Amino acid sequence: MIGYALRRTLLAIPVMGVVAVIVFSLLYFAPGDPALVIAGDTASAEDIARIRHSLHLDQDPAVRFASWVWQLLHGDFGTSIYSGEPVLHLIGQRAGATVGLMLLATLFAVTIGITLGILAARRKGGAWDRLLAGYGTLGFSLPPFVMAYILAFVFASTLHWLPVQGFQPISAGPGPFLRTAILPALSLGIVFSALIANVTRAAMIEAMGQDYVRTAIAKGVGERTILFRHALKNAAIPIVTVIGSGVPVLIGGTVVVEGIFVVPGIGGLMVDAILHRDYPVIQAVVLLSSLVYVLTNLIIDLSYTLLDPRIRY
Amino acid sequence: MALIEVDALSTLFPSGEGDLRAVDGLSFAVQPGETVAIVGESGSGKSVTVMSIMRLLGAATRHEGAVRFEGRDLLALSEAEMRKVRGNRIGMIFQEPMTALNPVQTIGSQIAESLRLHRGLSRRDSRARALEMLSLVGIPAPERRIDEYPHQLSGGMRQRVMIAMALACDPALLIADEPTTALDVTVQAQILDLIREQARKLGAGVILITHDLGVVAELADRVIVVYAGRKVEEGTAAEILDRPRHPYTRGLLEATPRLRGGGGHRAGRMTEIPGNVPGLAEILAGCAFEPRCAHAQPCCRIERPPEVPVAQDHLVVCRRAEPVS
Ligand SMILES: Nc1ncnc2c1ncn2[C@@H]1O[C@H](COP(=O)(O)OP(=O)(O)OP(=O)(O)O)[C@@H](O)[C@H]1O
Ligand SMILES: [Mg+2]
Repeated sequence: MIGYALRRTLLAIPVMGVVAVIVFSLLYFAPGDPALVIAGDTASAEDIARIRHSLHLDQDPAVRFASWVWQLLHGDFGTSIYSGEPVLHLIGQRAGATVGLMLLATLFAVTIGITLGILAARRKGGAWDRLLAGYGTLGFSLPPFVMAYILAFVFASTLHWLPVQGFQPISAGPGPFLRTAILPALSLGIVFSALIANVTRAAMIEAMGQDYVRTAIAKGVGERTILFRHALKNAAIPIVTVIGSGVPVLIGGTVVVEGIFVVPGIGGLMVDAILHRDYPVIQAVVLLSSLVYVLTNLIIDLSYTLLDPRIRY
Repeated sequence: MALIEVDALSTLFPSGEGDLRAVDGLSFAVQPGETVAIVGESGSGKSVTVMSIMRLLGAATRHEGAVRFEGRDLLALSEAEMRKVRGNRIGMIFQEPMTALNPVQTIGSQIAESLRLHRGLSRRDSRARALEMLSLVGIPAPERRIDEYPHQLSGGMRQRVMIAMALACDPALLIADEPTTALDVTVQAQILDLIREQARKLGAGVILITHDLGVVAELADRVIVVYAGRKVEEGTAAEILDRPRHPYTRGLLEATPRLRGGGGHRAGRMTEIPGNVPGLAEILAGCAFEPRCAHAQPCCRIERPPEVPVAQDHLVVCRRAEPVS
């Protein structure tokens, strides 16, 4: 197990290497000369030369790549062209809001998704099952930004239960954080929860039909124990897998949702950076998102061996 | 007094073409310490009978008749009361040891579960008792095996674990649905010995479902022969094996020639009687076996045959049998 964990972790390194190459070449493959775009129409030739130099576009790409990676490995993500601040500092300021939002959305999606999936699986075609079918259709047919506007309209503009703007970070206390984060987290999490609920339902129906469930009933075990101790643990692998596969969806959705609810997070930083062709920021955000994704997958892979004793590497 | 008395049990599965009657007015009893075998071709309703006794068939299934066990009708109990019977007063062993155990729980915790549930044992006490059960059913190195998962055990070992689970709470009745069919021939005899031995020690009654008349000869005190969900013959094992009266029972016995020749316990499957079991949706006014019976007469088709006592401890449900005087 430890050997496998080690090998699997080492395997993540070349993956991140490929990501780094792609991220690096963004600068070269993006349409237009980045220096010209950044400098704007009124720039003089010296301005452009200066920007070219600060982007190291005047260096050999291979040399530039090597020194870029070297700096990354030392935790140096460069300096923002637009604001002149260290990229890591910019990201650090805003990561808390985004991570808080994503965790809340995930918590919400996992709780609602698994609960609804189990309730629906208990009785096929029953009330909960029909509710899930409706919820799923709604969740999948509405993109997060539409969901965000609907939620904001209902709970903020109409009912005045929650604010639309004025996001408070977790450091401001759980109360203010929840009040301001719940609508964006719901907008992000509903599709995700519907996804988890559908997978949970299918996996639970499959597990509940297995012989070992009949054995458990014949032992006198009650329904709740059968659902949670016997069936859910057997259904865990597809559920954990879908949770992992939802993380990139969350990362994508958060950009949009942060914009609507004016959350000062990575999403806004990224949008600004793209508008200003602030390459160091763009590269850092893409790299870090990929790292989160790779790490999530790593954790999920490793969790398989804990969830199913038959899986051994 | 009988340990369990199945009285005119019918099991009906609702379906598009009306109710499917998988068990049709079946009656039999098991005395304490007695082993009763239920035999019959595939699809004759043996499994459905014992699943009905345990009420394992799901909410849509309907039952008629009564199953009296320890002074109560199991079919009339609430679900909560029934749970206290399952795994506690009645233990059950299934046919497929490969799939009947939970793959993600250790065998120790699967045995301990019913002990904690029915006996209220602590985690530690139930584990100690599970360990005891494992050595009782002949699992070597039980201290090591107790923390293993089902996939780490052979089929025979898993069936031993199933037996340990079924017997953990000292049940008064043990139901075994083809407990050896899925196992290697060499292991079958050991598992049967184990069931017989443990049931004898507990003084438990046993309902044993089997295709295998060799198993009947070896283990059963009494035999119920079923066909299309109905009883066609009942008697002591010796009577049924040596003096079968019903044409269906005779067909079954002829289909397993080695048994009569003595020696071989490994009897073939009973599929050699010409014709097929009637579909469950067919309404049979007369004898269910009549379409396949070489001795059938017109009246067999019209009226259900009577139960005819043909010897002491031997009755046959057939119009053509002559009663004892
Ligand atoms: N849940 C169900 N719904 C509808 N019909 C069923 C159901 N369970 C069993 N049956 C039918 O009931 C009949 C009896 O089945 P059962 O499993 O009791 O046979 P069996 O005697 O145990 O056969 P085998 O020796 O193959 O195990 C079969 O025709 C089967 O198709
Ligand atoms: Mg069967």
